[in-house]
Amino acid sequence: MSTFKKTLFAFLIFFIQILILDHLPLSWGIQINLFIYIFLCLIPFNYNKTLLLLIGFAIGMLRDLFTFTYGLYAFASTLLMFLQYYYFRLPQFNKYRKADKLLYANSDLLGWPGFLLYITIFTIIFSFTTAIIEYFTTWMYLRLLFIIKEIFFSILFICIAELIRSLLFHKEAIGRASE
Amino acid sequence: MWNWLKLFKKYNFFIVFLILSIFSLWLYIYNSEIHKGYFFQISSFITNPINSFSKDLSHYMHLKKENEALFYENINLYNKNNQYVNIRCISDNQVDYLISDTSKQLYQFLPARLISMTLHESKNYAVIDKGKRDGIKENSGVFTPKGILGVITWVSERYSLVKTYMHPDVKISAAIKNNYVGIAQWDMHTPNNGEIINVPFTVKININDTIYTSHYSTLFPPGIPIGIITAKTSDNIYQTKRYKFRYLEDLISVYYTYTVVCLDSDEINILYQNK
Repeated sequence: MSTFKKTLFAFLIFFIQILILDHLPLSWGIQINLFIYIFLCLIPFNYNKTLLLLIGFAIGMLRDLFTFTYGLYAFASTLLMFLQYYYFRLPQFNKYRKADKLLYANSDLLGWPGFLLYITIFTIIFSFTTAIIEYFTTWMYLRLLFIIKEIFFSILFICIAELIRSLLFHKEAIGRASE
Repeated sequence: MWNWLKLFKKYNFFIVFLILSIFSLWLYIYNSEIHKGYFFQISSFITNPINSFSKDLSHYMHLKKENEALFYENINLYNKNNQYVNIRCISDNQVDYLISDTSKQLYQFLPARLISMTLHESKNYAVIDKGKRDGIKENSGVFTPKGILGVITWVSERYSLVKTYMHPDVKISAAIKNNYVGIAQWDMHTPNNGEIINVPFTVKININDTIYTSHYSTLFPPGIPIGIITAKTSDNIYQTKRYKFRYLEDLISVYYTYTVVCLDSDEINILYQNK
């Protein structure tokens, strides 16, 4: 998957987020956070860690500009990038540390169970972070059902995006596997 | 400097994360009215007591200046108010008109600070920081906002000697509700206590009545408080009544005073000398 195609796909995801999902009156206004897929899966996790923080911040801030929530998603995205670094420092991912090429946290690399676990953990963190910051004025238990729905739909949409990605760039994956 | 750079290089990931997090949170709070409200509510909870304390401290530090400002403001008010003390009566054929005499001022008020004072003598004196060059004359009254303090007996160029009310020579014409009742003087026994002598039997005074200076005095303008009646004693020798009272001004706490100069006192004294 060339960098150009990856960037194009990331832009597509981002536009779907800001143009459709942010304005979709789904399940009484819950937020579907598809855009976290961009910096969780479409950007290599073994890249310069400080630069990854800045990329996460920039993408979050870009969404903030469109949703008029200056700083909310920027903070949550930065936090995700910070935690992602430590997530891939866990012992089961030791094999990726010595890799001399850029690695993407997608279903091809982690496998679907590993990918689902990875996405679920980070979606939960993201949703709760934004909910706590955004709704700290109300009681959390009142929002709990909404947050659960938000997490569920976000995971669903990320999985769809990942399916599309793996289908679209199936040949590349096969090619890389044969190498 | 080098150590700082080394520290930043070592922990750059964590430092950048902290900077970005704080910046984005600040941005969010700054742009959200609800969050701003809550944030300031929390910050006010912490900063308000500190602000209040510093404000009180600052206010306390500036009390002297404020007191002086009020002191001079009071003097101006006294001077302005005194212009309307003298009433001129213009008689028509049927009706009398009472018109305030603004063309002539009988009293002038001057601010002064107390420098020293005796309290435990049989004849007590005080010194104020105003003298001849400020326009102070002998036999001028000295009072405070609470009540009378004494009478000036001797004036130098820059200072004046005051006989306080705890001096047997200080006798002030007293009145209740503008009606003359007698002469107020120190009782010579206890500090801050005096007596009104020569009160006619026809005059009725109640305990806790406040006594003021009367119209029959060149020392003080009428209406300056003297004291509060505390007890009644009879004076069988002179067939008059005698009342005990407590002076309103406590001499221990005096610092700022007002001096009343009767502008026509020289002319009035000449009249007395020719009687």
